[in-house]
Amino acid sequence: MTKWLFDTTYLLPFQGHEVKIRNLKKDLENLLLLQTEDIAVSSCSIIECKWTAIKEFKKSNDKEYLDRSTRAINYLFNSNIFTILNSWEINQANIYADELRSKGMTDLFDCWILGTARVEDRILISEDKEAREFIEDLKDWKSFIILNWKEFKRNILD
Amino acid sequence: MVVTQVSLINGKKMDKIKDSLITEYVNTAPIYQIQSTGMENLQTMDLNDSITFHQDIDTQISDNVKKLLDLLHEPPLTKPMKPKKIKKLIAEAQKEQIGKSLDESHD
Repeated sequence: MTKWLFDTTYLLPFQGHEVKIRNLKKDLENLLLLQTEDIAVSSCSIIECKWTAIKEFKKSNDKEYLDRSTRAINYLFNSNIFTILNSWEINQANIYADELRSKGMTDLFDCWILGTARVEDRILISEDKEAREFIEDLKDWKSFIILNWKEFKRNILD
Repeated sequence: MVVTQVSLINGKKMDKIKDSLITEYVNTAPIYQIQSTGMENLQTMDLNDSITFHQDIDTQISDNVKKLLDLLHEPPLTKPMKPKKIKKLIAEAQKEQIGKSLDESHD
């Protein structure tokens, strides 16, 4: 069975960040109702969610950003739908992340997320075109697949 | 009651139904019909065929999934942002947090 790893972007709607991807919220709702168990996220994404919530809180002084983020993280961890993978605990993910870093990918969390998806044999769902192009140029990563939401939908939701 | 319509598009979608929905909703009437049809027959259905599942949301999905659904229904806190802007936001938030942490460690 095909397994997926979602990038941070797709978790943000749960904490009140509106993402401009057509029907994303409705699609996420359908995924939850399907109760699929083959979706993972990296714990790096959980941290990124919290960082963005803190940034918005600092800008607005609206504590709802923090509250909603905390609720979202709690429900994500306990939903039995999303598997949260601690990237830094997976040795081979670290090795792949180092490989990407040494080849010029500067964001450690991006490296970790990609490394985690690869070692777990998961297709990465991401809108990050730069990462996709970067990977496409690497010989050792030829069999690694990144799809954006539209492509993912074609595979699973439509 | 919640109605979820699942269209049978390709083999992957069938995997989804076989692995998730049938095992999860085995006690609901429409599933009995599917089981009696048999998976092989189902896979030969036309592309436009669909099955409608009637699920009792209160008994079939976990509390935390219901809460996640509720979160999606709450009013958004931000204006819509394109993925590129999201990436920038995450990068800035990361810089703020790590930068601050590093500064604090020097104090």
